[in-house]
Formats: sequence, C-alpha cells, structure tokens
Amino acid sequence: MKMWLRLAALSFPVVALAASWAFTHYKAQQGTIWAVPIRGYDPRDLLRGHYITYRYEWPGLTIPDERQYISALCIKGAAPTISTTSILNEFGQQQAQSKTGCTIIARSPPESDSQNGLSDGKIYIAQTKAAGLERKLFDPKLKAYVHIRIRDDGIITPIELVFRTRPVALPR
Amino acid sequence: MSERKLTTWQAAGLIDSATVARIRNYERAHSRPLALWSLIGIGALAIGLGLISVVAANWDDIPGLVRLAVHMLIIVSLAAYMGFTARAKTPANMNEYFDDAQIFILGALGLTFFGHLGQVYQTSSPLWQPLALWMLLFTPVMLGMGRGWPVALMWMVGLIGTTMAHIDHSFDLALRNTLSVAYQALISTPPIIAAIIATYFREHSDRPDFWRRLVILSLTTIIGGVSIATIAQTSALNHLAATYWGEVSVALMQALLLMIGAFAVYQIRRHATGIMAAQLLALCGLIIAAIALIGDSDIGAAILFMLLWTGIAASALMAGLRWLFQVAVAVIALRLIILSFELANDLLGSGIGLILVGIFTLGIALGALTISRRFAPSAEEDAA
Repeated sequence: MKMWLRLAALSFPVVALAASWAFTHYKAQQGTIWAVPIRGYDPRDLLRGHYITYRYEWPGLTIPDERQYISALCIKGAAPTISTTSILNEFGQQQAQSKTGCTIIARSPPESDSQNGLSDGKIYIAQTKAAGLERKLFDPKLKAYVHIRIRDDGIITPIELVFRTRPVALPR
Repeated sequence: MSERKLTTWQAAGLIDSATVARIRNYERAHSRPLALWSLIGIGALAIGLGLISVVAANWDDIPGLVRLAVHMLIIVSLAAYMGFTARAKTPANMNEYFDDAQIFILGALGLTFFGHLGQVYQTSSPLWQPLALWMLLFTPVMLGMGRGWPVALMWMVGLIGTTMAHIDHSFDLALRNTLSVAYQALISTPPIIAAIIATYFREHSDRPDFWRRLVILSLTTIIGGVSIATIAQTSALNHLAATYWGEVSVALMQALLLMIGAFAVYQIRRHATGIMAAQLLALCGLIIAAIALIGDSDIGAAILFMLLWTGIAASALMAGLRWLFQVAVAVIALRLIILSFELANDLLGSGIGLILVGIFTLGIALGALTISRRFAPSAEEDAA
C-alpha cells in the first residue's frame, strides 16, 4: 500500500473516533433536566450487571404492569418539576391529545432496544454503590427520582438517581 | 541443554568426544539467559496486572472525561507509532505477527471506545450501530495493512457480528413490523461480497496470503451457515416469513445471490482454488434452494447436508487440498452416525438395537478413516 494511503487509513479512525466523542459530548449538553419519580422495575431483578432498571411513574399517568409500548409523551410543567403528563403515542397509534400546550415532548427512539418505550429505563451505576442504592430504593421513607435530560428532539438520557424523603402522612 | 543425554549418548558410542565438545561450545555460545528473562517477564506481568487492577478498582472514581481522554491518548499514540514505523518498513523487515498484533490492539481499543462513550454519557443504541460504525472506521486499516490470521479473523468476526446484531435487532422490531423478503435474502450477502472482494485482491495485491485467508474465512462462514440451515431445515431467518411462498422466495433469492457470487469468483480467478471457491458457492446456492423445497423431511435434510459436504470433498480432491478432504469426510461420517441415532430411535431401547447402532457407528468410523487416508490428495499438493 502507498505511504499516504497507509497514513490515511491510520488517521481516519482516530479522527472519526474523536469526532464521535465530540458529537456525543455536545449532544449530552443539550436539553433540559427533569425529575421523574420511579420505582423498582422488578424486585427480583433490580440490578442487571452495572445497570439499575426501573419504571417511570410519570405524574398524572397510570401505566399498567403488562407490556405497553409508549413512544411519545406530552410533558407539562416547569423544569425540573413535572406537573402532568399524557400519552401522545402508544403502540405506534397516535392518541387523541393534541401536542399544543406541552412544555416538552419525550420520545422513545424508533430504533430503541427497549420493549416498553417510555414506561421503563435503566441507568448505569457504579458497582460499589449498587447495594446502597438498592437499599434506598426499597426504603419506604424515601422516594426515588431519576433526573433525565430531555433534548429538543425528545430523546431522553438518564443522568442520576436521587432520593427525597416522602412527605409524612399525618395520623388521623 | 541436557548434559545427561550428552553423557549417555557418548557412553553408548553414538557420538564421539570431539562432537560432545563441539555441542557444548555451541550451546555455551548460543545459550540464552532463560531464567533471567522469565524473571523479567514475571516482573513485567506483575506490574501490568497491578496497574490494571488499580485502575479497575478505582474505575468509577476516575472522572469519565479523564478516562476517555486516557483511552483516546492510547489510541492516538498507537496509531502514531504505527504511522512512524510504517515509513521505515520494507518487505524484508516486516514481521507478520508483530504488525498484526498492533492492528488487532488498535481495533480492540477502537471498539471498546464506543462502549466507554456509552458508559460515560449514559447513551444507549442498538448494538449493530456501534459495530457497523467500527467496521466502517477500521476496515481500511484492517484490510489495507493486515497480514495474518489475527486481523483477517477480527475483520470477519466484525462482519458477522454486525450482521447478526442487525438480524437480532430486526427480530425485535419485527414484533411491530414484519421483515420483508428482500431484507431476509440480502442480510446474508456480506460474506458473499467479502469472498468476491478477497478473491479479487488475492490476484491484485502485494499481500496475497492475507487475502487468501480472508477467502477461506468467507467460504467457511458461508458453508457453516448453509450447513446450519440444513440442520435447522430452514434457510436463514425464514421463520419470520409469513407464508410458505415467502420462505421459498427468500431461499431462491439467496441461491441466486450465491450463484452470482460463484460466477464473479470464477471470472476473477480461473484456476485451482478460485475454481474450487466458485464450485463451493454454486453448491451452497443449490443446497439453499433445495432446503426450501424439501419441506419437513428429516432424511431429506440429512441427505442435503451430506450432499453439501460430499461436494466439498470432491472440490478439495480437485484442488488438491488434503486437509479439507479429510475434514469433509469426517463431517459426513459424523452426520451419518447422528442420523443413525435419529432413525434408530425405537431400536435404541433394545440391546440388539444398541449393538446394531454401535456396529454401524464403528463401520462408518473405519470407512471414513480408510477413505480419508487412501483417497486424500498427497500432502505435498497442499502448497497449491
């Protein structure tokens, strides 16, 4: 092979990898951060490798346990607090709600490997912190939230798990 | 050096004392400080393992950007080193395994970089996408500079892996959409295209050995796939085809693609192994078409499997490839034995049945051994 071709073949992947990094980094800075309440997906199988899997408890929405593919959600509120959500697209079927009035629309990427679209998610966590986080998820005094970043195109990226103390129910 | 052996041989009169002295002198002059080298090696290994475990233990405490930067820096340095040393290379001082190892490590670092990005930025995408991007980025280095088995194998595994990941992904999506006949037929083409390209560059490149290996790997992939298809009695993914005719049309399209591949390979390389490769591709096409037509017959599938491998044995005979002939005979013998167990289902319950199957198995093994010894091309022809 000619020398310049050889050098091109070597520099091409390096430059492209760097560009891919830069692009991912840029994309990761886009969008607004929202806090979504969550619960453990399946108590027997909370941890999958380095990931914690969970179900979203979108405010104002009850999602039944059986499989349900939600591909678009209308979110209303002021970031990071969601006041209410409604389903825009389920099983590929456009729902009646109109898009007007949505603060932002969350979408499941069309090629997502998730079977359930926007009803569940997973977040990468450090193995050393896994046990502690799992304990907190089951603590009745704590409510788990996941901070997600929603880009303008609707793609959501989980950022971190946070825990808030539940409001104490007053004895009557 | 074995001092005791020398003394024994001298005592037995096999070698005289002058020879013993010469051997001792030679060994002294050429002795390598193996003990010292192994100590240095063990030391280096310990340091390396220690470094890895220190990094691994603190992996989550190292900020993501720092980790990515170090990963990137290693990739850049390795690529730069390869670029600088490439300048000084002449065919004489090139070392196949040393060069290949560098390309292999560069490729592995590149592939893990995608996973690392996903980990740091919490992004996830279907597996086939990073794999396909990796193939796109590293194919020029791998195919342009590879010399031996490691890189050829890495590229082929990357190709098959990307294809399989895409099939897997399409299966998932197929819950929502049905897969088209064209997709099912075309998804099996990458190894065929690889076989054609590799045959072409085997004729037109200064690294014919590398491309020959890639031809072998492509053909192995295709033959393996067709063999599995005869065992599973389905061509490729046609469980997804809604109708029988969908299934048949997928198989016929695949057969046609294999025939086109055979024709292309024959046009490029019209002698010895080129002809053999074309024959094998055409044979695979015929078998794929036949599988769809025989339906659910156990014996039919077994016959097709054995026809395929008989064809391979015949081609090997014509091309003078001793090892391939022997492998083909062994595979046919194995399939016959498995078939006898499949057919003798009822017989296996009785002692007599077991004895009959046992005798049959021994007979096949002996027959295969005789055939593969007597009729195989001589080993010298393997160089072809």
